[in-house]
Amino acid sequence: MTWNEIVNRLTNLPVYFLTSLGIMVFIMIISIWFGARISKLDVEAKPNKLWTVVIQFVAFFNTFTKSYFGKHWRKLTPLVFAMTLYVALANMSGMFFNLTAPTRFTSITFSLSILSFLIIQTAGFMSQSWRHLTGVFQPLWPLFPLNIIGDFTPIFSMALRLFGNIVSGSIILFLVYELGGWVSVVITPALHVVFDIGFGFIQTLVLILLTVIFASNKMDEADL
Amino acid sequence: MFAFLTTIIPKILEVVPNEFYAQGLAYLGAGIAVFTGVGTALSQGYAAAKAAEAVARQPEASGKITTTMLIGQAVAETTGLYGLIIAFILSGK
Repeated sequence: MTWNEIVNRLTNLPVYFLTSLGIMVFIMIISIWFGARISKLDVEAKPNKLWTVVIQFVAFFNTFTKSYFGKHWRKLTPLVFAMTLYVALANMSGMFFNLTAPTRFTSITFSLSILSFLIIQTAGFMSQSWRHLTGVFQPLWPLFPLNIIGDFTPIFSMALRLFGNIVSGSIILFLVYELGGWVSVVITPALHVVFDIGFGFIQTLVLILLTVIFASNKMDEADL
Repeated sequence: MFAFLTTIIPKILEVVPNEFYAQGLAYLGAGIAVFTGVGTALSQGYAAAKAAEAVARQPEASGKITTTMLIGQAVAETTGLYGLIIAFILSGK
């Protein structure tokens, strides 16, 4: 029996769902371990290279969201950072251990874009508390249907953008593996680098940047 | 010429819908749907040309220009991907 059939009989779940849960468990273990080690460091002690990279990356991310979110950045940044790590790892997981990337399936990408929609609306409610619902009537009240449509279409476009990029890359790699023969051993490392790592990072960046920019649009001017 | 056409065209129009008719037309539609990539390719090439000009004008800002260009191209690629998704749906019928 193949690995897919074994997993399906044991848990009645498709394999990409378990891959997604495995990525989440991996990120949780790594971040709890690093957080515990880094919080015990002295302030003057020089950490070694790996921890320096981690500390600098978290500091860079904090500065990036602080410039967009303003006063409320401490409550919103952990969720956005977790989404970044998950999407980056999930796009690249097509390379390891013969896994299928979870973002190849529309159920996962639509869940991510619905989460992004909830982050945007939560940012609006945090900054404006109930006046956020009247934001639909700004700047002129006849624009009310266009504003509602403009709030809901990023769900579709973000999900389909991520899905389309990852699926097309994975289909090209599948074709090269099937039809290549001995040539595919030479070409596929370069293709893996371009499609899995390159497009995966770019799509992560676009998703997170769009979420942060839309959330920053919903906030009040005084809070920024 | 006219006699040639009057013998050929009734034979072309004699389409018998057997069980492959819907699937064949769906494959044809899938091929036409991917044609939306033409507009995407033209526009993305134009954006890359403008980015190259901007780098030539001010080489020390090339990091920011590259990041902006990549983000703009990833957003502009979305409408080309809509055609690809329609092609996937049609070729699975």
